[in-house]
Amino acid sequence: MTDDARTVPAPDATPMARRTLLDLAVGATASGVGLLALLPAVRFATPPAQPTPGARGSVVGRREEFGENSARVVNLDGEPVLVLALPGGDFRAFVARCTHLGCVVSYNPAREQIECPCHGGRFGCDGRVLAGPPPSSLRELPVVVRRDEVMVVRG
Amino acid sequence: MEPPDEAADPTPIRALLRRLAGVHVSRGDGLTFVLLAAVAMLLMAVEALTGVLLALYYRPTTADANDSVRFVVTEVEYGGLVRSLHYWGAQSLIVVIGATVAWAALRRAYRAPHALAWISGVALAVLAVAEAFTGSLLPWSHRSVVDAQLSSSLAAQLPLVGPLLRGLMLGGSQPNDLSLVRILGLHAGVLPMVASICIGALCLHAAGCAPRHPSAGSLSLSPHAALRAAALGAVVAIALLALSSLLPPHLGASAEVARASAAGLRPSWYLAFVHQMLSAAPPKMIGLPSARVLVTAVALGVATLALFPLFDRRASRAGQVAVLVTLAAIVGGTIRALLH
Repeated sequence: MTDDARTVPAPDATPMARRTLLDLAVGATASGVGLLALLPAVRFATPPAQPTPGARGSVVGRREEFGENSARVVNLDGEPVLVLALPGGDFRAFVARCTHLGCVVSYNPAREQIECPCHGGRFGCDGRVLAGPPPSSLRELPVVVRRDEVMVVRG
Repeated sequence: MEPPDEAADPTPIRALLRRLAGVHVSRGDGLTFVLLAAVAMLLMAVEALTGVLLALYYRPTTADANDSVRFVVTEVEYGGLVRSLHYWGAQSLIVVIGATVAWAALRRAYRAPHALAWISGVALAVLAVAEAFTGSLLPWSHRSVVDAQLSSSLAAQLPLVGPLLRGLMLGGSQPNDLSLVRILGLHAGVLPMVASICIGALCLHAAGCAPRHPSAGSLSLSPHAALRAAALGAVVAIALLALSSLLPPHLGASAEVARASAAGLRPSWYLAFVHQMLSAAPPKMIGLPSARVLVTAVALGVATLALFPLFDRRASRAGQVAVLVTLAAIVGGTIRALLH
């Protein structure tokens, strides 16, 4: 292409620009309408939130059923809870989902650590992160021992 | 050479066949792509057929799903073979489509005029992985429960759309009764639909490229390339049957969502490199939880790979190096994670 040809505008330059603008406007409107139609579909597909039950205690077992330095994972309304019997005779409870990506954690009595099998996260008996990728401590739940019954309080 | 006069032919099928007979492909790249595409099509047909058969007995509820798959494997005639074929076909499809994308990257086939084909190819590779993964959730075994939990947590790490994606996939924040219907909908409805759009785009692309006229380095699509494809297809079919009969996939028992521990489980081979990265990462990267950073990086990496033709305006060698390094990282990461 020569310089002369570049300086002279093509005869249909203005109509082409108009057409481009028109194409853009039509495209933008169509995409906008499409997205607006998609919104109710996404809202429809998201199930309505269920009311969460208020604070309440659940009996998870009797004191003598837990050996010293042992733990068990119990299912409280679909949520895994790790009940830990510490060497001193105290009890602690944590939501047994790793704070990294939600895998169910378990207790390793030999190391006295709570461990996640998915990506190697390790927590101390106080729920704090010792090693691995978890970004925060396990969520602790209060434990009440009444007449030898171990009760975990949630809410 | 004048194209054959289609209007003169009374039957459209004969016109199509005559047109196909005129198509020639190059002996090198052309033939390689025809063969890879033929094997992929064969495997997709196997998946579609066995998938429809499996769906005849499947019950998508957390209480019944595991038993319904077990019923197919233990009671239904050829049930074990059909499930095994579906499983091994899916694994092979990932390998074949992955190999096609890698070959295309080596031959720089993401350049114009192949941009649309490249985007469709990468999308099909992602869809093949998504199909294998959603399929592994459907038997609702112990492993499926753990994977559903883990993958939805991973999806939730994506910025902005993450929690919405998890809600759409599971119908809640934890796997529940709604989840299996949604996963089945993805596996048997949404993902195959998107895949067929990609295949349509590839067909359009192929039609645009054809016909290539005969030359010294070419051979005709029909019968020469088609015969080679049929021979390769027969070999693949026999290998798939042998693999499916000798190594049926394991079907684990079901498990409670709240107690399913990942202890003793290994991630699927095609996602192993993601888990390897997640395990090795520190808790925080650039001030954010590392899982969030890594999942976003993987998503951006795949999107960049797919949309690479849009960035590769200048015909630079650096672009090809970037694509090859990305693919090598995925392959290398997978091998390393498997050996770990």
